[in-house]
Amino acid sequence: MLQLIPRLKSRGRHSKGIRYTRECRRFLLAAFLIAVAALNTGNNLIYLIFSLMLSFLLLSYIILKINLSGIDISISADGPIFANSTSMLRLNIRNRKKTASYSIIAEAETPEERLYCGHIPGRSEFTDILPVQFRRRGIHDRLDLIMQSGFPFILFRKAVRISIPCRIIVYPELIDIENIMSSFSALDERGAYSVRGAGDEVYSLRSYQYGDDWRRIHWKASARQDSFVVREYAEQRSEKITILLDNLGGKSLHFEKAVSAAGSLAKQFIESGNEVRMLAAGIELPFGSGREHLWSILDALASVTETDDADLGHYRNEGFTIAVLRHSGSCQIIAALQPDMETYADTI
Amino acid sequence: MPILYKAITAVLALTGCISLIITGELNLIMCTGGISIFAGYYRFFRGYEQASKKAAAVLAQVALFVFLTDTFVISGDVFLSVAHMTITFQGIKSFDLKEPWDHLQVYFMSLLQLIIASEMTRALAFGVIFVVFMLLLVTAMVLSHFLKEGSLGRVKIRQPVIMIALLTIISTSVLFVLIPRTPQRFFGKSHLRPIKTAGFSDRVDFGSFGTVKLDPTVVMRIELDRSISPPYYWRGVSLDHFDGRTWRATERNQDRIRRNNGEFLIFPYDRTKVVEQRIFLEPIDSDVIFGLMRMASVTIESYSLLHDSDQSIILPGKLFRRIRYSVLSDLSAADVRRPDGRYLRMPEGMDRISDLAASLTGSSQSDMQKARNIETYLMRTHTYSLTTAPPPPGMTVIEDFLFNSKKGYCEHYATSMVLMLRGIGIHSRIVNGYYGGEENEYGSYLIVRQSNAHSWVEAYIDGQWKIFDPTPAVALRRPSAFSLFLDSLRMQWTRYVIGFSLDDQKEIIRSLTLPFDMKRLKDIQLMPFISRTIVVVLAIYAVWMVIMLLKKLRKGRYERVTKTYLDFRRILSKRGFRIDGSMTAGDIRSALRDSGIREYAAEFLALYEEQRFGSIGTDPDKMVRYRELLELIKRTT
Repeated sequence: MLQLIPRLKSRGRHSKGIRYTRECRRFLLAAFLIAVAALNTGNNLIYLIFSLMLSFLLLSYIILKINLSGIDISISADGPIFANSTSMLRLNIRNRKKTASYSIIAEAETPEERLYCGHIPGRSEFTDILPVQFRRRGIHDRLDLIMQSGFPFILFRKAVRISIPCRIIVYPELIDIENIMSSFSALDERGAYSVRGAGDEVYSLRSYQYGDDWRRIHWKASARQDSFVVREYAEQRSEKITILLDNLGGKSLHFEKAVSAAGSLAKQFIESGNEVRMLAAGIELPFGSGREHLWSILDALASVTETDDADLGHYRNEGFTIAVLRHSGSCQIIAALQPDMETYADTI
Repeated sequence: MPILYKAITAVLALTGCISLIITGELNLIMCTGGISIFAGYYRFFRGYEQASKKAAAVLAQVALFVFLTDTFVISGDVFLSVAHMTITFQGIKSFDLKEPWDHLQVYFMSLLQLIIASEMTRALAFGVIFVVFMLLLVTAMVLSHFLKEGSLGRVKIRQPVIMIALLTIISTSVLFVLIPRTPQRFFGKSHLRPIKTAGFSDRVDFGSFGTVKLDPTVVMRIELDRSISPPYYWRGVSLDHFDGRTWRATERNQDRIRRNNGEFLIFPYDRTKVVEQRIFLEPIDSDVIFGLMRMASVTIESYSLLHDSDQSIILPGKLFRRIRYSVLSDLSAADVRRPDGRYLRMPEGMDRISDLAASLTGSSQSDMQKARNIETYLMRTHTYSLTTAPPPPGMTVIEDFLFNSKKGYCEHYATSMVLMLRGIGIHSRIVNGYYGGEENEYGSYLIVRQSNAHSWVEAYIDGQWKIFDPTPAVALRRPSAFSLFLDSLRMQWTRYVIGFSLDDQKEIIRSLTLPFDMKRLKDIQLMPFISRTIVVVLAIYAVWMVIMLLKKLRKGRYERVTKTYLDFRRILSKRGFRIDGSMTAGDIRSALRDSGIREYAAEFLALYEEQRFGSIGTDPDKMVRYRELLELIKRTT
């Protein structure tokens, strides 16, 4: 499983207070002038109009408070979440009150989009997808959402910050690594991929031999040669690739980019059927392939930090090694392992 | 933009304009620009292009120019000119409704129109318009909210609008009662036009009552604290000097009446003997306080109150607004002040009248008998008529009435009697006020109209001033039940809205603090309090019983197994499980799969299905378990 966001109820509501709208300011000014007129004239009809205006303000405030009370929010993820890309969270808004709530907007603190809920009847739920964008990778132990409403009138808006305890793993942003891959094309030149096997691409045709799968028979070619001919498929041979992430010594502005590049490389190589090993100060993920291994690498990259203390001496070079360095001259980690290729995050 | 939103904007604009028009104070020529509202909203409904900003600005400048002309040349009143201008602006705005903010401007303009109208009318129609305005404004504001959120039309708003409208009515009423009142106007003058009355000043031209006797306008509404038998003479002013054409009060000294605990005390009284009259006086162009004779005290929101030697009670200035006051009158008390020579003064050339009086009273022994003779004579030999011709040359109005036409109305009768009494040496004066009133059973009060304006006579006989009324009784047409009902509504409007005052607020606070006031608690008559409490408790209990009965009747349709199952669903709903009406027992079982009561629920539902749908009848043991499971579920959740 890539990540798990338990369905937890909202906990910790912090009211962000009530804001006045532009219309409210004008309404207040009008109400004030009417109050002065009422006091001056003693005319009960003007008092009546003033009462109506006060009543609008009062009800607007009270109904707004009630509207946002008794609301619980729980979330669940609809897929993996990567930094700086829009992810979908399934938001479940539950109205615990007997009375209905209207016109509630839920949005993340960095709103990509908002979720509008027009009507939630009393003691019922509303579920919809909220697109969110996380700015930084890492493991988030809570999600802050803002729930706001201006119902019933257009005089006030109330916002409540809701902190939902959860465990959200935000993976590093996957970036375009075409430049790195073109440098890496040397791998292809070795002809490492084109061997017979059980791939999808047709490699060659040959005569039928006992034990061959009859479904591989190429009927058109067999008819032409008057004997059974079977297809042979190409198979990409697994190459061992080590990705060495530079996180040793000091802080660098380009570290996040280096992490993203390492993650993107890992994804690219694993999806191409290679065995990938991820190394960094404090991280050692042995060679492996497949989606499970990719998510293990991304899990590790989600929480990797820069460090000053690490021993990489016991690793030995195996297969092809790519070092993802933070910037030019950041070569402390190279001393431990001799990479076949170096790439710099500040140039990506 | 939904048609409902457009329609509400249009109706709100019209409501504001109508509120001004019903005041009857506007110059309709200056309101002709408002007719364009119909064309503007027609275009708006049809979705035609709205006026450009430039066109709207030009029209607004023209309206401004018209406003200035109106203020300085035509009406000469800024207040009225503003009223005219708002109608014109509503017309212009109806062509310029592009943004949601434009609609809000229409609402604000209507609000302004309502405020202006409130200064020019106190009619019940204003109340109706206000309620319509309030309901429309609530709807418009809720619609505006959904429009702003971009979800108008996607959310059903009928239920919230109804709820909010009800809450608005309640909260507006509560706030109206709670907001502290000021008793007086501080700056500016009222634009409320008072009812034109006649006869209630210190100088009254003879014949002025003739014009108002046909006017059915309500002048006063009066509540009595106890039933008293007619006739009701609502005394206003008394006048002592008549010069043949005009009655005047020659005694100009007015004294301040002492104020004691908010009550203007004229003379000490016995609370058990006095009659309380709560009077709601329409804005009239007079400063006189009306009440039954003899007024012992007046409670009114005024800094001072004056009285003269003729028992007239006068406010320090004309109020030009509806006022409410309370008068305590001792009907048995008489004015015993000795009269001076003023009350015997006759105009020149009235010998013939004195001779007539002498001939009518020659055989009478007492002054009382003499006065009665004159009163009877006038009543029997003269005809009541509101259409009187001018007197022939060389003859005064009274001589014409007494000796020639013998037709006239109260002023003729009363003046004649005063002059005849004075002619035979009896001190007398004329009194102007109102006589009688229609009893309105819908609100248990009296309606006094302009047509009730009346003149009668007070004569000093046997050491006290006594009332005589020589005007013959005239048959009055009884108003229809509907008009009486309508008037009772007007009375409520006047009493609880227009006339709501600081005293009412004090009274409410007093009644609220009464249970905590141990001193006053002793004075409370416990029986009425207990009986009222019992009635309230019984009423609540009866309502509760009806609700329970209805519930039971609803349940009664089902047998015992189903009843218990419905209870089970209700309990789950109450505990926060989402149980829709369409959910079957199987659905509920699935829904409760992860809950803590899944085992009990599964067993309960299995028993329900077995008992309800099984071919064998209900098993008593299983029924016991069935009920037991429900209890367990109840306790567990």
